[in-house]
Amino acid sequence: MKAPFLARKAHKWLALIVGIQAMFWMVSGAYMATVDIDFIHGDPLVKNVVEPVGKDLAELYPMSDILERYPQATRVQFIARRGDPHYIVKTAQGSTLLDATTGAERTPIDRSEAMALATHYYAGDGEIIAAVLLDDSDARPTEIQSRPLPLWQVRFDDRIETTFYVSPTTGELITRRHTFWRLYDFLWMFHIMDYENRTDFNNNLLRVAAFVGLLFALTGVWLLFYSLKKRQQAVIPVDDSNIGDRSDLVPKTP
Amino acid sequence: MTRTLVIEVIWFRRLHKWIGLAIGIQVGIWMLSGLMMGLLDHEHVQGHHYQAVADVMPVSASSRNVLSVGDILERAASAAPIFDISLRSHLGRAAYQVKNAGGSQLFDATSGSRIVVTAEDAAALAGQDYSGPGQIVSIEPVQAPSMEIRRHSGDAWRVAFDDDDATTLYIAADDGRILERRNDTWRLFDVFWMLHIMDYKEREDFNNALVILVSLIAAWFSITGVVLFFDSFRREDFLALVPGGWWRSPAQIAVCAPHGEVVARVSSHVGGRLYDELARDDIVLPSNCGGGGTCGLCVVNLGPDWPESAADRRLLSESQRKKGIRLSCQAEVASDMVVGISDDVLSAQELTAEVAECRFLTPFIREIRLRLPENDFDYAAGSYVHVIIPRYKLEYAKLGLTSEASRSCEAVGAQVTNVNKSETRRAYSLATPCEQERGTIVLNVRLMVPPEGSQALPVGVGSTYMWSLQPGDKLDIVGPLGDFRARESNADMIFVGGGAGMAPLRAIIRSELLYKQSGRKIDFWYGARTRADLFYAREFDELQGQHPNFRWQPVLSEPLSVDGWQGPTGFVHAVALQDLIGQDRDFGACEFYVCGPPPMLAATRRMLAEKGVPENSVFFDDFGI
Repeated sequence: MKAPFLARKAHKWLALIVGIQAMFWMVSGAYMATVDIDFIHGDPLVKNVVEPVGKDLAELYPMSDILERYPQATRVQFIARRGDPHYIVKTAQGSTLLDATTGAERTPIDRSEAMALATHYYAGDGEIIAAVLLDDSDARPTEIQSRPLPLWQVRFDDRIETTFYVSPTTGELITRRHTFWRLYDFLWMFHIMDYENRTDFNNNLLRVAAFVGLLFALTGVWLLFYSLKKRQQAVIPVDDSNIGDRSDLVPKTP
Repeated sequence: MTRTLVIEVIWFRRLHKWIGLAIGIQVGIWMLSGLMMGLLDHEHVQGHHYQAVADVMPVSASSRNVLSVGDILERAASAAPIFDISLRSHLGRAAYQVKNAGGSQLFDATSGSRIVVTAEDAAALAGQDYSGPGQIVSIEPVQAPSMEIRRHSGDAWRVAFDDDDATTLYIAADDGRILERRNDTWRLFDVFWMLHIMDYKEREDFNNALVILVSLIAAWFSITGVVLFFDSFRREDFLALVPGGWWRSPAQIAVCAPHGEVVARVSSHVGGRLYDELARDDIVLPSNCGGGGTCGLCVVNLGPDWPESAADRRLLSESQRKKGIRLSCQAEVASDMVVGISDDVLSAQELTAEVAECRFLTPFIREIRLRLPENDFDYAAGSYVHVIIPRYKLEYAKLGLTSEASRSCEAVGAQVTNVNKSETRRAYSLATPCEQERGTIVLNVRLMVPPEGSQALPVGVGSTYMWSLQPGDKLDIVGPLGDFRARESNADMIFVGGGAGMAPLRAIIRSELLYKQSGRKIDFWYGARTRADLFYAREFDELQGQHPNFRWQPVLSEPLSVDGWQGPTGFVHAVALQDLIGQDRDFGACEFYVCGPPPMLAATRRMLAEKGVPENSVFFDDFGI
């Protein structure tokens, strides 16, 4: 069997196996390359994620008292939020938000507080249309990936369907999602072929497909060598009047 | 597939080919790098396999008697706004970490003194984080960003371990954070990542202009590919996978050589692609595209009634299609079909010959003897070969033209040089029968000078090259080709030739007289312009003397006075006709073999047709060289 014949056959049959996936790779790759990753991450949608702490901190609830109350604390974070000082106490069991002036526990954050925080963090032009406490791990949305529940899900009515996830324990903005992120994630699923969790690119399906895809690309490049080779002249059967180049013939009756 | 769609598909095919040329290699690199990133375990890549489970000590275990946040803020004395003041333990003591936009600082939570992360501290922090089998082999200060800590800034410690993966931890010098866990797996991964995102400098930005451009092209490329995919597959392709194919209608393909004799019978199935089915039986037609319908090489004769495909219309001339020529890669096998193929497909070889000898037979015809690498080049008298004319640039001055040829070239204003821009082929008939000298072939090459007044035409690129050859030069040829042959019969043989049409006629005549010891009556009329244009004349005179059944008659069309020509003058075919009538020959009992310049050929055929000679007893070689 001649090489170009073999190359075309191989390319064609490999296309059957991996052709559609190759298109998914290319199209999803083009999307991921083209759309700014900072936009996908939602950076333009948020503000006030960190705030400068005030200068006058003399009246704070003392840190040594916090350590007395929470002897298991591995970290005590002092931050400002909506202008007010807060402590976030982390232990092996979880986190607690405290009012840094009174020392009072602010956890858990209620619905109106979650909405106020979401509005505080939001830099878009929409309004909140829903705020739901997610605590049923059987009904967790895939877009929060492996982030632990509970979480306040706050949805906005802007064009790109922005959704904020706010921690009910610390009030932090855990993550934000929007239409373009969701599309990105959907395409990422096809790109890495992890249709279940959309995170694991060490899966065997991807490995096999990528190997076949490599062969597919190589046979394509191989085929290119033949396709671009200078066109030979066809050997016309039965009637051979086209053999040779007639331009060499000069009419001259002997 | 409907016909209109097929016409559109060729554009996708072309697009696919040219885009493939532009980005094919990168697509391959994406596949390879994607595969490698898929294969490299991400736990290893991220250094998690040698990362200790964090066992973070409660702050109160070090000290409960800590300074207040306000005290620390004073000591930090930061001009930039501070965002975060965190109390945590650092190497067994309580410490405050103060973050501003520029970075962070660490303070002892009890004394308030500034903590600096020393090399020893870095080693201790690295040791806490590391669970692998290696030992620390070096601790060096480094400055971020650098390739392995490109997302960070500021001073850092580079702590290297001697494990099998060359683990290297980076510790921030300001607050003792683990910045990165790097190892050889990551380093390999990172190279593929770089290739994948096409950011060869920073290896970070997958929104760079190059990858955007190439990936958008690739997306279109893949869409053209999908269109071709649906166009390329037929139901038959899948049925062909199953062995036996008992449910498919069988078909017999009779493969015929040009004279009509069946050279092979191929068992196939209705609906298969003719090209593939023939290839399955080792009848591999020439093809560059391998059956894609783009190169136009895999031609067969299926008869004028066979439906024309879009590719046939695109690649074959109307006259070819009218004769039944089709592309075999586009034809579906029908039950009991007859396929005409060139017998060259079965017998032609490609070989490299060496020029043995060159001489001028006339001012415009050069005889070239070629020595072949093997002695097994068998061919029937009347065959021709294709000569591969490579790209060249030649100066006429160095060709050693005869003075007549030089004058003629000057007369048509031929440039000083002749250039052949792309490799091409020329057909030349073999001027001797195979038996004469095995392993050697002889060509008669006429220098093709355009007629005076046709300045636009260059001197023939093939003949110029052939005239430049010297003994020892190499030449690639393909052959034997053609079906101009002496027929097996007892009929009289009438040869009419002119110019370089001498070659195949001479081969057949010599074959008949010298090797077949044929007793058939053979007459040869050969036309030339002047006496100087006559060649092999003495040889034919001798043959005529030795063989009473052979007679030859040279005819000059424009004899010069110095020629002192006593023989017939005029057009060779007219003289031949006159003589035949004069001899009262029965035209119906003769076979006519004609070879020469196209006008002569056409005139002779017309004349024979007028005389009622049936077409099947006129044999001609159409290209006259």
